[in-house]
Amino acid sequence: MFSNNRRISDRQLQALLLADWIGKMVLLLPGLAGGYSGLDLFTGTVLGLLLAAGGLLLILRGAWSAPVDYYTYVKKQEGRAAAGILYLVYSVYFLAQTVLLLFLCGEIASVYLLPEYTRPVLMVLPLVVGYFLARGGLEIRGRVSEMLAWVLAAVLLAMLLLAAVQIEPARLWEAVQPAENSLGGTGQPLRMDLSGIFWCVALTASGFGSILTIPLVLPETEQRKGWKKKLYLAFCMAGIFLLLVYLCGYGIFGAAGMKRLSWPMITLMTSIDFHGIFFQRWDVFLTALLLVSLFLSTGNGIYYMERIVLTLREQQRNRKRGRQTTEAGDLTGVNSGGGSVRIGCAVLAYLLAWGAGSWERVRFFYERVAIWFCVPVLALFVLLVKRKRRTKAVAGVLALLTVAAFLLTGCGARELESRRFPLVLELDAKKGELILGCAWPTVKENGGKQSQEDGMGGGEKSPEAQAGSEQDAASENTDKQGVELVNDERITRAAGAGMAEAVKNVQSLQDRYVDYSQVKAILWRSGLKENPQLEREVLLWLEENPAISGNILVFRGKTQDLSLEIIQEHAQGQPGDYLENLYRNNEEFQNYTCTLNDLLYP
Amino acid sequence: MEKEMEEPGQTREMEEPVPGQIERVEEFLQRRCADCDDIIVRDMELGQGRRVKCLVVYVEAAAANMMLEDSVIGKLLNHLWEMDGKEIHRAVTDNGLGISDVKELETLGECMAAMLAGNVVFFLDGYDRALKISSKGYPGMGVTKADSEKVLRGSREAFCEAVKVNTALVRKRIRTTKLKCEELFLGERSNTLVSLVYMEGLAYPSLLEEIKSRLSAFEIDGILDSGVIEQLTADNWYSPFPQFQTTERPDRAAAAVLEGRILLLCDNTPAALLLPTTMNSLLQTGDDYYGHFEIASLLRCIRYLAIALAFSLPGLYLAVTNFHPQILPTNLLLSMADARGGVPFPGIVEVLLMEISFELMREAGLRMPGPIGNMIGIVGGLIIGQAAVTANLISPMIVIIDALTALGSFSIPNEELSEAFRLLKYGMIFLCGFFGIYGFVAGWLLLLIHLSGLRSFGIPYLMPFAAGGRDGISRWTDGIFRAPMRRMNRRPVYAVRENRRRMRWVEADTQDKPDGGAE
Repeated sequence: MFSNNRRISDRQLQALLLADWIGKMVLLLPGLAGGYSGLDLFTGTVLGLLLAAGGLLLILRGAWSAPVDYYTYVKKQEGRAAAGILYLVYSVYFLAQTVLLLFLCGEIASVYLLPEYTRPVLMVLPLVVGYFLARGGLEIRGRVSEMLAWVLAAVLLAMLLLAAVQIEPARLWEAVQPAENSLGGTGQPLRMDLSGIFWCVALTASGFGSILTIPLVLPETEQRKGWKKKLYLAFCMAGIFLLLVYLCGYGIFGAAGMKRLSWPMITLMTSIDFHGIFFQRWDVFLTALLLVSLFLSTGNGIYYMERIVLTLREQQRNRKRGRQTTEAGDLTGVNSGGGSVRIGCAVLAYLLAWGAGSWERVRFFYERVAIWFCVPVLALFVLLVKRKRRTKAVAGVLALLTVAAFLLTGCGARELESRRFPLVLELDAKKGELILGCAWPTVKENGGKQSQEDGMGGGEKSPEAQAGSEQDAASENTDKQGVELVNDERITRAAGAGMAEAVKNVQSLQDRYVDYSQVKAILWRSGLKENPQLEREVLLWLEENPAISGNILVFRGKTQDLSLEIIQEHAQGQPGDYLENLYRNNEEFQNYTCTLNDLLYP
Repeated sequence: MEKEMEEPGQTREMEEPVPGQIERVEEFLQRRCADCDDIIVRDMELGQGRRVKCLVVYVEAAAANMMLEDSVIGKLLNHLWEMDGKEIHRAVTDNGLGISDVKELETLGECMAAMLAGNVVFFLDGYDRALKISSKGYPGMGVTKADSEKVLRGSREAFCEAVKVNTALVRKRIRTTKLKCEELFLGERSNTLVSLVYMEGLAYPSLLEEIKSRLSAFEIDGILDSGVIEQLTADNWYSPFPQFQTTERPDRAAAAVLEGRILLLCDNTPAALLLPTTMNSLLQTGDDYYGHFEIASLLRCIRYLAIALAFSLPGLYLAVTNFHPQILPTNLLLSMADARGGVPFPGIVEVLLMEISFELMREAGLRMPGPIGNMIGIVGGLIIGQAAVTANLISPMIVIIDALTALGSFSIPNEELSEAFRLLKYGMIFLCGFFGIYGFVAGWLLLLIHLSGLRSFGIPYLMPFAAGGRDGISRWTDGIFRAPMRRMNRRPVYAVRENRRRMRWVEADTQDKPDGGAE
C-alpha cells in the first residue's frame, strides 16, 4: 500500500525551499535593500549567494541517515545547555521571520490591493492560511509546495523576462554613477563602502535562512539518489530570481529610483504592457503570486515554531520525570498539546506584528534579531543534521480571528458604479496654485438603452437632466485666484495649494469616488514646468500612488494645442484612447511625449 | 449501538439446525413470519398416498409463479408428487432428481436469510436440512442505459439494483477466476448483500482487509444505499470531497478492478463504489481511454478549467470589479459600470442571489417529473433571468458569470466532486467579496491545503500531482494529459508494486501468455 509514514520526498523538500525563497527573493530582499548603492548591492548579493551556497553545501555534505533527532545529537555532542540554546535561537528566528512575513503581507495588501482595509485585518488571512499549513504538518506543506512552487517560479520568471526587455543599459551604469539631477536623489554620486557590502551579504544570506531548517526536516525526508542536486537546483533558481530582479530594477528605474522605491518589483509590474493580452495591469497578478509564496513561508514559520517549542517542552518534561531519551531520540510525548502550542505561536506572532505598528520597526527588529543574531548563531551550530521523529499534530481550528475579521471589516468593497474614472489628467500651475483637470469618459448609447435620468451610463446624465439638476454645480466659475474651474459631465477642474489639496478638491466636487486607475495620459502644462517645486510634488504624488501606472503617456510640449475641452470634443467619449491614438499615429506628438516612468526616472 | 433487534434467545434459535419434524419448522415459520402477509408458508403432502409432509416458504413477489411446471420448484414438486413416499427422502437427500440449482441449508438462520433474499426454501418432514431453490428474485429494473455517465464511445450498459446481476456485468468483462467476489451482509435489519469484487494479485490484500475491517466496525439498522457505506467508512468523513468513486458503468468498474482497485457493490444500489480514489480519477471518464490521446488530453484540460470556473469565477469577478478594476480594459470597465448602474444590490449580494436562484432551479429541475422538469430551464433562463435584468435587479454581466460557473460545474464528470466545489464556491465568494484578490489567493491555498491532507485508504487525494511519480504514473502520463495508449503500460499506484506492468509488446517469435497476457 502507499506508505503512511508521513515522510516527504526530496522533490517536495525542493519545492518547499523554492516556494519559500521565491517571495523573499522577488519582494522582500529588494525591499530591505533600499538605500544602498547599486555596486554595493550587486557585490554584496553575489557574495551573499556564494556564502549561502557554501552553507548549503556544508549542510548537505554533513547529512546522514542515522535515526537520531537533531536535538538529541547536539545534546550528546555539546551538552544539554547547548542544545537548548540552539533551539531557543531557532524559535526566536522563526518568530522574527513570521512576524516580518505577517506584517509584510498586510503592508503589501493594504498599499497595493486593499487600501480600504487596515493592516491588522489584512494580516489575519496569512495567519489563517499559515495556521492550516502548519497544522497539516510537513506532509501537507510538502504537497502544496510541490504543486505550486514550479508554477509560481515559471510564471514569475516569464513576467521578469518580459519585463527585462525594457532594461536600458545606460541605467545599469547608473548603479555605479547615478545622474546628479535624478528625482529624489541627493545630487551626489553614490559611494561604495564596505559596511554596505557587508550588510548586503548578510541580507542575501539571511534570505536563504530556510537552509537552516534542513537539519530539522531531513530525517523526515526520503533521500533518494540525486536528492542533493534537487536542492542545489532550487537554490540556483532562487539566485537567478534575485539577480534578475535587481537587473530589471536597476535597468528600468535606475539607481535613484531603486533607492526610493519600497517595492520595486510591484512598481515595475504597474508599467508592464503585454501587447495583445486582455488585461491592462499586471501588478495585481504579480502581487497575488508573491502572496502565495509569502503565505507558504508564514506557514513554515508557524510550523517550525510549534515543533521547536514542543521539542523543548518535551525535553523539559522528560528531565523532570527522569526519563532519558533513547538513542533513537524518543520523543513520543511531543505529540500532545500541539494544537494549543500552534495557536499560541500564531497568536504571538500576530500580536507582535500588530504591535510593531510600522514597517520600519518590524524591519529594525528583524534585522537586529534575525539577521545579525539568529542566522549566524544557527549557522555555527548547524554542522550535522539529525532526525526528529514525526509526531502527530492535534487537530485545531482557528476560526475566531477570521470571524472577527469579517465582523470588524464589514464590506470594504466599492462597487464599479460608485466610482468615477478620469481617463486624462491635466496638470498646470497658475499663480502658485496647482490646477488639476480630469477628463471623464462618456458612455455611448446602445441597444436603445439611454444613459440618462436614472444616473445610468456610468453616472452620465442627458443634457436635459443636466440642465435641470446641475444648476448649483460649480460649473464655469473662477476661484479666488482667477483660475477657471469646471465641473460638468465631461471635465472637472479644481485647484489647490498642492497636489494633495487639488485631488481633495476634485473629489469634493464628485458624488462618486474618483478612481485614478484608468488614467491613460497626462497633459503637462508649461505652467507646471515653470514651478519646479510644485512639479516635484506632483511627480512624487504620481510615483507614490499605486493606482497610477508608470507607462501612461505624458504630453509635455505642444500642449497649448490640446486642452481637455478640445480633446473631449474630438474624443467621442474616450479621451484616453484619443490621446493614445494621437501619440501613436502622429510623429509630431511623439517628439513631445514620454511615459511617466521616463519623467520619474530620467 | 444497542442490540435491540434480537433477543439473545432469538439469536440462538436462528443458529439451531433445521429440525427434522415438519411441525416444529412450521411453528417456527408461523411465529417468525407472523403478520408478514407477503411471505407465503405453504404446507403440502407429497408422494403416492400423500404421506410425506413438506413445506415451502417464499416471498410472494420474489418467487411468483413458482408453481408453474416449467420452474425449478414446479418440476421438483411434480416429480415428488408422483414418487413413492419412500423414494422421496432419498431423492431429496441425494439430489436424485439432478436439480443443479439447489443448495442445502443447515440452520434456521440460513433458511430465513435465503428466503428473505428472494429464494424458495423447501422443508421435508424427516430431513434435517432445507433446500434453497433459486428463483428469479425480487422484482427490479433490469440492465438499462447509463443516464448520468454519458459517453460518446463505449458501452451503454449501466448497473441495475440487483447485486448479483451487477457482479455478472463485471464478470462478463473480466473472464477469469482471479476476479474474486466476496459477499457480506450489512445492516442488522436490512441484511443487505454487499459484494467486494477485486482482482487477486493486483489489489493489495491489506486494502481488502482494511475495507472489511471498516465495514465491520459499525452496526446499523439498514443499508439502503451504498452512500451510507461511503459515509461510514471514509477516511475524512468531514470533508465534502468524495473519497470513493461512484460509477454506474460496468466497463468503468471493470477498468478500475484491472487497475488494482476494489469494487463495492451494494444490493438495491444501481452504482458501484470504487476505492481507493484520487481527484484525478474522479475527473476521468470512461471514454478517456477509448479515444485518441490528444482529444482525451484536451477534454481533461477543459475539465480542470471547469473546476477553476466552478470554484472561483464568481469570486474572481467580485474581486476584480470591487477591488481591482484597474486590471480590466477601460472600455469593458466602463461598459460594466454602465450595466451595473441602477442595480440596487451590492455586488456580493447580487452574486449570492444569482447563485442561490440557480441552485433552486437545479433542485426544482431534479425533483419535478418529466416534461415539467424540462420547463424549469426555460422558466429560469427566460423569465427569471431576463426579467431580472430588465427590471434592473441584476446586471447582465452576472448572468454570464453565473452561466459560465454553472457550465463549469456541470462539466465535472463526477457529481459528488462537482457538488463539493459548488459548496465551497460560496466560501470563495465571501473571501473575494471581502478581501479581493487577497482572499482569492487565500481561498485557493486553503483548498489546496485541505485536498493535500485528504487520503483515500492511504492514497493521497492529489496524486499524481502531489506525492506522485514513484509508480510510473506521473502527472504527464495520466494526469491532466493522457499519454498514448502504447505508452500506458503501467498500472497506477492502486495495484501491488510487483504487478504494475499491464501491457507489453509481444515479440514475433514468442507465444502469447494465457489469461490475457497480464502478469
